[in-house]
Amino acid sequence: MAFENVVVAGIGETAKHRPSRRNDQPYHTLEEYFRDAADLTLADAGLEWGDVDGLGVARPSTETPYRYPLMLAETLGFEDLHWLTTTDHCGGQGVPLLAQAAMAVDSGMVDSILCLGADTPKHPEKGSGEVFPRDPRGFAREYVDPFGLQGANALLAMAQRRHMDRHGTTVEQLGELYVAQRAGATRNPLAYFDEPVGLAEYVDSPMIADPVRLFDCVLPVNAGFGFLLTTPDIATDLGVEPVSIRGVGNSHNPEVAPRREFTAMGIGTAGERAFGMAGFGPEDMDFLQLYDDYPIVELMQLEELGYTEPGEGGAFLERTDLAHDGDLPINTGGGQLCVGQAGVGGAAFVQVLEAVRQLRGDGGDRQVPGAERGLVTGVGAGQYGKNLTAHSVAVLERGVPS
Amino acid sequence: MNVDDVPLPSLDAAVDRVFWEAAAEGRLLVQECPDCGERQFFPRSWCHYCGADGVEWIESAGTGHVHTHTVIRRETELPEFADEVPYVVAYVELDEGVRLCTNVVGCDPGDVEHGMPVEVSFAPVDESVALPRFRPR
Repeated sequence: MAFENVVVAGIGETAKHRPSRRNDQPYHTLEEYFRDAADLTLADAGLEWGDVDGLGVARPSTETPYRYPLMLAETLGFEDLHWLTTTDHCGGQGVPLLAQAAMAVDSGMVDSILCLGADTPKHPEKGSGEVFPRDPRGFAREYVDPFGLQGANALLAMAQRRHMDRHGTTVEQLGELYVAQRAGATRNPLAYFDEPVGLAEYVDSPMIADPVRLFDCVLPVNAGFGFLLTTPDIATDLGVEPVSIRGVGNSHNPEVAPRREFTAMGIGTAGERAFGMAGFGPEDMDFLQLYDDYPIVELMQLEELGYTEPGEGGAFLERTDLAHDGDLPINTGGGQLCVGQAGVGGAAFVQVLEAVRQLRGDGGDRQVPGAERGLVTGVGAGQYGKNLTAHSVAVLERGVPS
Repeated sequence: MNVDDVPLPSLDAAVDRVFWEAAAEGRLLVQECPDCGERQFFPRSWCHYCGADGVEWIESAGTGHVHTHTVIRRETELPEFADEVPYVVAYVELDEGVRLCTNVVGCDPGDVEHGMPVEVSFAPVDESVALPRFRPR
């Protein structure tokens, strides 16, 4: 299988906000972020609202009613959609939405599909525990929440603790990722953080869930994102720089072995599927946009996707230049750790959009020299006794499908 | 660690009531599949591994070791635990082979280590719920 009749023809990304009682940043509604993201994406592609016949919506984590994607279509003003696809894949959503939308265009169901993700985890009057709805009756409610597991911070802290215990991975090694991404963010006007941070400042940042520190935790922001897929012919007519989707692979809830290792993610299988469809290997990627809610999640991906051996990720980070012009550019615009992550609704869109920018040559002063193709990943869904278990990987390439 | 304000299980499903009613009596139950022999936790009405109905309850000896843990220093998602910080959340591997999300209590949070031997210690919350926590043994 190959996606021969679809390209990315437009992207859009709003400013990031973190409104609270302690600042005067604006609070916009979820729907306002969706609308801004749609406007920006359509303008980038050179299309009008009435020109798209498909809509893709990533389900937000901000509380919404059932049928929300249809309510959103009504609120925004989309009429007679031929195709409405939605994802509810937790942290990784941008990547599986890209894959689902590519299938809709490639199969001929639609000429073009606008894909949107937005979320509002920051409310000026509410804490994060009040913004996200809790599990009403599943395993989280019955067997996790009573013990006070503080969400992903605590879950990934346990993965990091075990990686450190088993393999000698150090906080300083993980900090290499954060410091490099903060440097990348200073070259990205859409990143929330615009100041660099040194290794000592990273190590000294306040402890949240030992060994996870403040700067290990993804930065929650209110924001909206979009990308538009259409056919190569329409993209040519529009005169945009197209990006093709060479391979996609998913592995959701991989491996149900009884005593699964807590530091195992299972994204390697999704990677093999994506590389296999693309006809490329890990060594062919000019950059990686790795889903980053915590540096330990990036490290585990590097090990499972074939960039280093299992258990060796810490040493790999120490000896590898991760900058946009380095040995292996990773999260060149700062990643979600520094750009910000909009809940799960906007999750992994940072990865998809930065890959498209790099492949169009729009990376500005963080452009990866000669970028022809790159990898994007989306990861989510912490389960019982495991770390993250929803995995999507895509290989993107400059130009129309060859 | 205080137990007055913890979010309680819903006890909507019969399978969960069996577990929590036993816990209230000081017994820790896990499940075993008579068809494939695997043991599982959290409880379900079917086998997670082979899909068979009729999984059976077995009583755990309540002993095991710390598989991995974290010391919570900030209440970021569950504000009910604000007064408990710092506290330990851990996955404990029971000698029966399954892992439980739990707390390690009865020692300084900084003293918890990978592989540390622990035993269950029930903390009553109300008449129907006692939390299976673990302490060093």
